[in-house]
Amino acid sequence: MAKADEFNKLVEDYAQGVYTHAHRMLGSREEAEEAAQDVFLRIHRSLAGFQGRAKISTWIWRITTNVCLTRREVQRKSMTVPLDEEAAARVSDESPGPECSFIIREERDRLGRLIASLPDREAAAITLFYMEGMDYKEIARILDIPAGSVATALHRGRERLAGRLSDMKERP
Amino acid sequence: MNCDEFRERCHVLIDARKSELTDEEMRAHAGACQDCADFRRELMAIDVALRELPAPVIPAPLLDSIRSMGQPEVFPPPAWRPDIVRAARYLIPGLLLWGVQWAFPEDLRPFFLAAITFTGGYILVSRIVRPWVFGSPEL
Repeated sequence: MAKADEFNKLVEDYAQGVYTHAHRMLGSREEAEEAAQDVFLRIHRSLAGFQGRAKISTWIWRITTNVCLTRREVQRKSMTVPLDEEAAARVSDESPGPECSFIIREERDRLGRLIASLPDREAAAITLFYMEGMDYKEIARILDIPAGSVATALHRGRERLAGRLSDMKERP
Repeated sequence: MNCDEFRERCHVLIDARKSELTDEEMRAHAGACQDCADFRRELMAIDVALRELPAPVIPAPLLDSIRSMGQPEVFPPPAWRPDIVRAARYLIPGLLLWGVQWAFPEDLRPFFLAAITFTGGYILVSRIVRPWVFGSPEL
């Protein structure tokens, strides 16, 4: 397959997933858009050198995770809050389904923002496990950590989310 | 079974996508410890919420912009073969550095040559020979 065709197929197969992953990790639409472009630019540059020793999906998710982690680091350094009220409203707009009540949508927005506020490893593990349906082994290969550490990150992340969500509900 | 063990097993069950408590010991603990029963309920709720979280739809202009990266006119193939460009990038500074030896007094030249030969050799092996023999790291 020609390089351009191969790239186009990757865009069709992974663009939505990469965008979702970036959105969850970074917590804002603007950041997610820039990250997704960055990811595909890197894929485009490196595709010719890809020798197929790793699964292409692992390669793409690893690039995506690394791009998101780098951007989170920049966010932290520049002390910007990933999601402001305006951005949160935009996230609500993106949630599909007019059937969803306002309260459910609000809860989902909160949850989306909370994932972005988790520590790096936990946010990445939660995103890959829930959004991409990956198992410990796949996540371990992508994050380059042992499978046991993936389980720990996933468990801590889930507990942290549960704690923060119930804190928010208790607040007047 | 203590509370920590119970909680850990709750996570493992959730990771395995099992919604029911699978063993008698866990059921007994959940019945006896209200805190752990509440903890499990919260975890189950967050698990369901995460599974049902809708994916934000990729904006059409972004998708178009990413698709356009695949067009040859956006990123035309390099005029020179990348490996030739890469070799020249190391070779030209290397030759220039080699020429600098004539600026050194004759008795210091061997030290200078040894230093640049060692550095050049290291770069040659790590950047060109090793990736060529073993392939570039893909991950």
